[in-house]
Amino acid sequence: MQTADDLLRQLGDGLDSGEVPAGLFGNADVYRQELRRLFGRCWVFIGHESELEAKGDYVLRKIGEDKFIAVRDERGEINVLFDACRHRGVQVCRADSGNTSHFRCPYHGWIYDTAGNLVGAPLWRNAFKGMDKGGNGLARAAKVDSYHGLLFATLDPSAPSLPEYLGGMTWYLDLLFGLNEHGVEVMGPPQRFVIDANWKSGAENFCGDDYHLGTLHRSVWEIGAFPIPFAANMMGYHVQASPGHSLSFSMAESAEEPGPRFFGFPDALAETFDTSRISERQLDVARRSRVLVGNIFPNFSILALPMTEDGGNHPPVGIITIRTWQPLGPGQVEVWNWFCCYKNVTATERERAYKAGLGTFSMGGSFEMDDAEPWITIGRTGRSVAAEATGFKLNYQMGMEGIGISRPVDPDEWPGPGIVRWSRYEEGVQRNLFRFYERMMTAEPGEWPALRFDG
Amino acid sequence: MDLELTGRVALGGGRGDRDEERAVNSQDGVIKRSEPLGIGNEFTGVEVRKVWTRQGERLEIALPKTGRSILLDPMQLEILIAQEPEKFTELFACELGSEEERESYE
Amino acid sequence: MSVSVTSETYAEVVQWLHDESELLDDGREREWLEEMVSPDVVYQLPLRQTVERARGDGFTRETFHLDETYGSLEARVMRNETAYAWAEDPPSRLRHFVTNVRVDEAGDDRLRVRSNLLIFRTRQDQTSPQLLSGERRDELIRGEGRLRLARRTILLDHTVIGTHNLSIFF
Repeated sequence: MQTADDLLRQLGDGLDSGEVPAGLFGNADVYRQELRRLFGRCWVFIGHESELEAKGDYVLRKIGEDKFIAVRDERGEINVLFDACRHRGVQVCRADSGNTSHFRCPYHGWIYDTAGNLVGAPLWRNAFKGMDKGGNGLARAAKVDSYHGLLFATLDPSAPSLPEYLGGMTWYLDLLFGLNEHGVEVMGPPQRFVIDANWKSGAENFCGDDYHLGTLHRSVWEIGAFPIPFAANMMGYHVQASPGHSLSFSMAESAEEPGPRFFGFPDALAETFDTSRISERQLDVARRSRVLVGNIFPNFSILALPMTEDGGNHPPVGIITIRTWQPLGPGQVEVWNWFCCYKNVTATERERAYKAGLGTFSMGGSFEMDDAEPWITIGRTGRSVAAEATGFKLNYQMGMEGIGISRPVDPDEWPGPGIVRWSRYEEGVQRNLFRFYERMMTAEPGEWPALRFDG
Repeated sequence: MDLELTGRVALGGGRGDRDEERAVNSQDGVIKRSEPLGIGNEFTGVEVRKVWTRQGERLEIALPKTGRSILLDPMQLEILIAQEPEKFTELFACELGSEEERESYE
Repeated sequence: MSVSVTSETYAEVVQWLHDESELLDDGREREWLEEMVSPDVVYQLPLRQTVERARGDGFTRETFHLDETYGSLEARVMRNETAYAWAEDPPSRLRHFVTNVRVDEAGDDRLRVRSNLLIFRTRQDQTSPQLLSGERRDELIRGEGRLRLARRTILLDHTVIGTHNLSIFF
């Protein structure tokens, strides 16, 4: 079987020619390395702060394949704690969520506070008198931070700060999540479903694969669920916000152009949008924005656009879905999917946004359900002997020099950061993911690839 | 379990009584409160409620005369039950600054 | 607990459930929608979490995998009728196994029906099926001499859904 080194070398050699070895989507050695070098080091999405508003609220989430407790402690700080008792490694929290001031391990009864400190255990003086409690608490993620309430954590103490890691992506997150002082909240716990596919199929799709809409999701147009025709929708921007993080973006030429504004959010809500958290320039761009779909390396995706689940009875309205593609093996991914809305919506607006999102971008949603089909077969190709024997390279050449109509956008003509191309007939957004992927997978411990496009 | 037989979706409750109210939740993360029980004597009185957060439930004890309250989770309540009456006397003394000096032991 | 129905009514409901399963298994979704579903239908599949015993069965009241009206169910049927509904083309092989049927009068020409459901599904050349198990809590309403589905709540025995999509009708 090919090794990870073989495949990463092929990636390094071929990516600038638009070649990605299919084996990355199925090779077990690659997967093992991804768990350590990507999920064990990068900032990964844990949840939204609105899920942990009250002291004591906790949810069970994953970093890679491993379970972590995200909890707001009695002082109001959020901690991300490895869900393993220090005594024998038993799983302390077994419910998906809850509210508590202290954890208690079911095996021998060790008690921790919600900052993870060991408090005591039964018959302490007999059992542990003389033992130092410090150093015997729950293991912690190395760093925890949030941006617009999006909570991230990393297991790598050498990791840069979250804003540094997000780089240019912060500007685009501002457009969606920073539109007023209230910000967003999630609507309920995440949906979770498993697809027999490689996690990277989801991540790279959300970097900005608009091209598949016309084929795979054609049915959605035919039933009137999406207000913008396919050909018009391809006329948008592809942005490599910073190394590893990409997005696809469409907006109107001017605020006067007819059509959705502010991603299709209701006008009454849009009236509350202001510059309390963003610049005037960003507010103007957000006003003209229609669709934002993006991925934060490695596996956190965002989608905002106007949608309806019932074109006959409800006009499209702006929805926000955020999701992680959690690895469950080289050929399996667990999708965790949340819907968000601004906190200051009315009950009616909330319900409408929820139903529109649920009916389109969830596992029962009219868009989402088709995506799983091709991804399953990509995984099969990725682990095939045939791909190995034929040195099968996938084609990521769209939009490269001399191929297709996309063209670079002058930085002076674009209000935000990153490398920008006009018309979405290009795959530089995916190549951006794989370039950072190759560097992160081959970096030495403690070493970080460039997080900016400078130079 | 009996699911409510109404069609309305009510997400993240406690959000204004009227449909079109553009209310934003308070900062303490409580999304629902039960009706209060009052417990009082001639010296003081408290209101006790069960409250729900997004992820669980706590007991709220509120002191109307100061407006202060506390949210106690089941673990904190469990340890309260284990206390001797002297512990509560000690808490009053600490609050007033009149506690006895004591040797601490490990 | 329950207001018992006549054996005639019980047999009628069981036959109705079997007819419904037949239409869905045979891919005759539009017939199912137009003949067996009420225009006011509320059709929901709530999210389920693992919670401690004291907190009950873990079903959320407010969040769903499916939260459908007649209009959105029709959008799904229409989607499958287009040439581009890849999730169901080639179609899944689907079979609904309905058992443990319990029927109560609910007044006003309504019947409350509970049934256990097992869905067996294979796609392409899979040999291991996807299995979805759960309970359906329905309200059927009688009108113009026939029963229609006014409300369906699907309570699955899963917190993480192991099928890759929910492009089917329960």
